[in-house]
Amino acid sequence: MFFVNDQYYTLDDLEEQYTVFENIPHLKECQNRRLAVCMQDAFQWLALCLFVRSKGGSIVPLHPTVPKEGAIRMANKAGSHFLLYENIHLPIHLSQQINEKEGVLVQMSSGTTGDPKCIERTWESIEKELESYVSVLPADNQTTSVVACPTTHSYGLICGVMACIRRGAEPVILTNMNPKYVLKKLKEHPKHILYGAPALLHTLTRLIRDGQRFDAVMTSGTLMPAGWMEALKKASNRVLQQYGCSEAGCVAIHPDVCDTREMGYPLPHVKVEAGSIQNPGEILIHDSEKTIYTKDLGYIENGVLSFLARMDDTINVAGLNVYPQEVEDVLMEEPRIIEAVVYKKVHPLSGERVCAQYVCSEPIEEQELREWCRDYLAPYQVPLEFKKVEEIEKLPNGKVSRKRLGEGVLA
Amino acid sequence: MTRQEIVQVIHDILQDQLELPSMKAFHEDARLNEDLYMDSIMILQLILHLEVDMGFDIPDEMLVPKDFRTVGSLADFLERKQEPAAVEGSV
Repeated sequence: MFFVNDQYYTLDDLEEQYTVFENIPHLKECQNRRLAVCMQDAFQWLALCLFVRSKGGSIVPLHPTVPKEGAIRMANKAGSHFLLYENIHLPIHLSQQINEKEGVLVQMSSGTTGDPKCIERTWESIEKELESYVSVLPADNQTTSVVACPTTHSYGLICGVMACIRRGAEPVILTNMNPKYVLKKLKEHPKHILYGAPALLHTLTRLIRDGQRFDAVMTSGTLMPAGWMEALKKASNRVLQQYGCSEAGCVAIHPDVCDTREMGYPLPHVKVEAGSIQNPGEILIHDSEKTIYTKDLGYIENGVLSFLARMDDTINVAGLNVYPQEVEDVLMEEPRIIEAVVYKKVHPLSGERVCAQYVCSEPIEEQELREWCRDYLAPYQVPLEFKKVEEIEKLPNGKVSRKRLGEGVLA
Repeated sequence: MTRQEIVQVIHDILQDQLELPSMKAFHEDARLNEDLYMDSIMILQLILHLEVDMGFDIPDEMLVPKDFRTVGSLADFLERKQEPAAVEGSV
């Protein structure tokens, strides 16, 4: 059925766990109830998730590192009736209220543009996504999904675990983030597709030895710097990328990425709209019920969806669009720069201006940075303000909020 | 490498490579997560520097979270990792 780290669980183990759940009244009657779960034990969490789905109940996955008070707050926000915190026998009762919709998976959106919000997805819509996802993913039932990302988030849960089971293969779920351990597990499963976030994939690329290669690697969530992608491609037989959002799930897959911005071909169950290469526009996702406005800017060229920037992040310098990622890629190429983020600040007289924060290994003169940028960028793309920082501020989900960095007014 | 040297190596990586702003709290008893505000991505970077730059051989086993709880427990862990190699070498 599946592995959690070194432990193999069979279908019998899963059914045995279901029997345990059936004997717990608050789980047995989970239909039309909303259940928040925060659990270290990945097997128990996944078993519970599949059980609640089969019963038509709703589930609110919470990352296992969330402390108890935080879990209660998030569970309340998601309209949960009760929370299981580390213990399936002792539910924390939260609410008696009837929610408008049940039979859903509740995901917290990334909140890059504001406060995280709760997104409800019906199990039917997830089924549709799975069917569509599996139909285009170039992997057969001999290919193991190695899931080295949280299974409380849709990337790990739906695309990593559920899609693997759906195509008749056995996922390997890793909760131990020792990168050497991940490499060992990949060796044990030579025919694999690895699901991870860019930071982990980059670390693994640096540590891989003795001619070991990645078979297939999936990246998602945030654009990988071009240099990281190049190194990853050298160490892999195939690098894939997927694009989506909490509201719609995965909507595009690239089966063999060259340019990090290329998100791939739209999945058959949705229609994806975006601008053209000359005139990029907001990426819109139409499914059978609704249209989702992603606030991402992109274009479709030869059937391939490309992502340029969050719309709120695009910098309009006197009518010319500057995409932060482009400037960041140039900065990251400077050998002393470890991390860079580019964002806009609004000047009351001259409109939007490009600004940058960076972390470096050795001091760099601002003049040197400007000259470096001028060699690669148009003058309007070169940051007006460079700020050396110890660390670039991140949101709790690990993403950078360009909006927040730019909140100061340009002096 | 002595234990004291190992603690110094950890200190230098956190200060120079990761440029942790919370270095004032650096102490053997400082917890990586709660006192030094390191998240999982920073721990990954720390492991990377220990292995690639400093030549520590991080095992390919599961890491026990306890070993990565404080600066001191991490130093103990790295010290233990040196020992088996020394024993093998002397056989």
